[in-house]
Amino acid sequence: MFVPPKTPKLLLRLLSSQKDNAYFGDIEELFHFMVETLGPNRARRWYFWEVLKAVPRFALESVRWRLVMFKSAIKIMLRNLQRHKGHSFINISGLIIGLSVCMLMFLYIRFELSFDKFHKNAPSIYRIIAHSQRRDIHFAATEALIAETFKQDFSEVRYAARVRRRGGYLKYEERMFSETTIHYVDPDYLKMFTFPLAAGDANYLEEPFALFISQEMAEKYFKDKNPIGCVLSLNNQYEFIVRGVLANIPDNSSIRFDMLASMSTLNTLWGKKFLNRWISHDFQTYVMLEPKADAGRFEEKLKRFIIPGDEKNPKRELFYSQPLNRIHFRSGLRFDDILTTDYRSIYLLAVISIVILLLAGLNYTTLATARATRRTREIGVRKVVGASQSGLACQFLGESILAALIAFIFSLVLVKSILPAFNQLMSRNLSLSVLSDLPGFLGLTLLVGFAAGIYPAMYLSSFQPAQVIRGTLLLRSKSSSLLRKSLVVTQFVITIAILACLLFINKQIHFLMQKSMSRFENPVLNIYLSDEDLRSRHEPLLQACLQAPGVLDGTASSHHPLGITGGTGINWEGEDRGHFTRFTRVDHNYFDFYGLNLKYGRAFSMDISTDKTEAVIVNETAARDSLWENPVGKRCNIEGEGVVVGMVKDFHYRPLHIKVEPLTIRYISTESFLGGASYISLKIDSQDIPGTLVTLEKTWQQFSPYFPFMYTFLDNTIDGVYRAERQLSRNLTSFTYIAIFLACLGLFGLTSFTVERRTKEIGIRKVMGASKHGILIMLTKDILVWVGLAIVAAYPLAYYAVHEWLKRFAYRIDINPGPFIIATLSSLLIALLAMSFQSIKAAAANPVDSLRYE
Amino acid sequence: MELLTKLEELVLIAVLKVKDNAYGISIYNFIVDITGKDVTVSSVYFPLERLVRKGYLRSQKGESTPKRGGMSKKYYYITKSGIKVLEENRLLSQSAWQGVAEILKSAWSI
Repeated sequence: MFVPPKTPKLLLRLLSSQKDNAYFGDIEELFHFMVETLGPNRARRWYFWEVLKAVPRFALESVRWRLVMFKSAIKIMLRNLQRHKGHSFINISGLIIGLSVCMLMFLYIRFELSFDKFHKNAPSIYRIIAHSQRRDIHFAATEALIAETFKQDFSEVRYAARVRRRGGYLKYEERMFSETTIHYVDPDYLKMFTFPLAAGDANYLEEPFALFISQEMAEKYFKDKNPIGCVLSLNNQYEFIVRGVLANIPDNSSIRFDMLASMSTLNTLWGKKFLNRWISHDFQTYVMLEPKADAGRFEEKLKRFIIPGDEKNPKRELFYSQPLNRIHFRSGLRFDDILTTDYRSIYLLAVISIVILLLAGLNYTTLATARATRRTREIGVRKVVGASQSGLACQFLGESILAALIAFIFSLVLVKSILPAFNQLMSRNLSLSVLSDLPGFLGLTLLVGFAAGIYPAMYLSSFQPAQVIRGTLLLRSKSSSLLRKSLVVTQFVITIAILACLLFINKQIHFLMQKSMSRFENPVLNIYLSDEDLRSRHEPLLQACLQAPGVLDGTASSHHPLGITGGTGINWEGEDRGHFTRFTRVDHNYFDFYGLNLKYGRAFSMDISTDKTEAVIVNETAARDSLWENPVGKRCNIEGEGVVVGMVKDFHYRPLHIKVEPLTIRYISTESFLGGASYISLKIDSQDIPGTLVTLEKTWQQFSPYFPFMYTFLDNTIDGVYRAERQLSRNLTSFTYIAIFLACLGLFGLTSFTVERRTKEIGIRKVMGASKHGILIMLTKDILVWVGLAIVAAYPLAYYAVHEWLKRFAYRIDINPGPFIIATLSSLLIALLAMSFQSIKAAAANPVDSLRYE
Repeated sequence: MELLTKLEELVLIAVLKVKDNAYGISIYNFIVDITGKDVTVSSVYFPLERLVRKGYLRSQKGESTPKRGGMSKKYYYITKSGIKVLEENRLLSQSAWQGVAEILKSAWSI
């Protein structure tokens, strides 16, 4: 007897939705008939073609059936979602959080990665970084002659441009504003970068006093007028001619400026010497290589470059380049004034958002699996009626994908509505573009729905119908309970670790605030004196300010109390080697005003006439540098002869990231060749701050009718200095809430699973006389042990993270167990709360109900 | 009244005509005989199943033979509503075709 070929039939079997289709029998019968009439070979050929021709019909039919089943499946899914509102809410809200966080982070990270890519020449533009070997400092600014020298000496360099940022008061007719970002640039600048001109001629960048302003600035100063050719005066001294209008700088540009001025202007302002020297880091230097240049060779040449005059000590300062595409991601360079985001923080956000999405997905998995008991009956009946395992699995998978899609819609709304707040938090300008972003997010959603649903789908569809219906199904598989428990442990590890880190960070921020010069009873106002004329009259100005009602105390100094950045050399009598020291000048009241204690000697005095010319006060570190306990009476030379009259205890005149450096202070006086004070600091009564400010402004106008009254509050300045830390703290706070929320969901799911599985057991225990609270303890004990394990695992993680973070501060808190204990207790409390809902319900239930629930 | 497709009509007629032996192959043979066309075997099953769903036919499992690879036959029987719909369709085509022969003849003569 001949047997028909197997392959074609197998194909049909796969396609067919009805396995009992009579076709399969009939075609075989016909085959045997054909064998008799046509012979085996022709019969085989006939059979083959017959089956092949049947394929499209079977395929069509099966699609039709799937559609019918799909419709019914959707209906059932929606019914299920409606019936178990609580569960659906928890499930979907977890997914919403996970998806929203991921979407936001995606938008943010994509935006960050797009930085500076809009420059057409971006791949061949580099910034030159100087690495001072002695102090191990990387300078984003280089010496004045670097740009020109590189352009001449290195064949690879096509363009080179220096950038120097300055500020000032610009005035056009009646409109005057303080501008902080005027970039003085070389003519090559506009040839390298893609900052297109909306109007005007870039060639004017060669001429002194040529100004290019952004569209925004053009509107600010000139309203509707054509700005080209108009004259803007700087600090009422110099006249600039507007030679062009630049298109506004894209949001994703690290280089940010409002105006460009020609570098040759600085020649006139400061003299040629300043722009032609090999000392001092004054300029950012950008170079653009020839299109076919070998960047590796250029880098090699750069490394071997030695500043003229350094031949004896060639390793003093080395140079390297930084591709334009990467300047955004490296922060912490000295004298850097571009917009940066540390690449590590981008990684951190990416990892955290993926972890959160993972947790949300796993939560869905736990909760869906936990609900299995409720659905065993449905699954059993479906199977008996003829549902296949794969069909059922598809149905359950469909449910999770549907849940993910619902979550997706909600998270779109959520993302859209919190984007403005998020933008403010991250100081970015992100937008969600529906057309280009949706497909990606939708793909992610489907992936999450699939990944979260695959395990419950496999698990639920594998039930044996006979067992289910007879009620002998054991829902206790070792591996799946381990999965659930490890999920909860992971979530708590993360929650406790994040919480502990957050507590430490907040503690350090508190510590920074305490250590900084701040927290005075009354607000401290720092007024900046913007021009030489005013500085030469700082004493009468201060006196006038002190007359104003509401002003309690005042002092004058050459630097902002948090910004003593200038340094110089000091020569002590009897030593031939000079020392490096920070240098500032203050008046007699400064130490009292800022509450600085002198360990030895005295503060400056108005009554001692020699103080103005020779008195010097040093800080502890300066004295320690010279190995003196008490430096009073030592003579030195620093900007003129001097004698030490006092030693002040170390105070933090710069952010706490940096160790206190030697500091030398001189008496400030308008008679000194160094000029008067740049800052006047006032303590004002907190009762009527606005009123006092108005009076002060009037006083100011008597002295300087031209310049606006500019002030900052010391507290705000300090907050600004630690902005990165505050940002981290805020971000972590959001993540902590999310982590706690997700952990609670997970725990809630686990508890409801346990409770459902043990409904009968609880009933029987109660009948036998167990108390409510005995049952409560029984239900929570297990899970608490797991949470305990999580605590143990979280500690080293948090310790390591905090330890690494604290390294960036020269002054930091100790890592003590306090925050760990708080994190532990609060997470335990949260865990108990999350569990209690289901457990109390179960413990309080009437045993009659739980035993009759069959 | 429901309009049947030509194939549905033929299948119903086949079931009616082969009477007690109406299963896949006999119906297929009937259609091949009457049309003289080499239609594929599979083409009869989907109209058959559709007619069963619509309630014009009912099916019953029959015996299986070794030649069928152990798979059972499926016999089809016409139902009352099947007879009704077939009659309606017959009347319909009859009235639709009325006079067409004359028109065709005159058209042919041109």
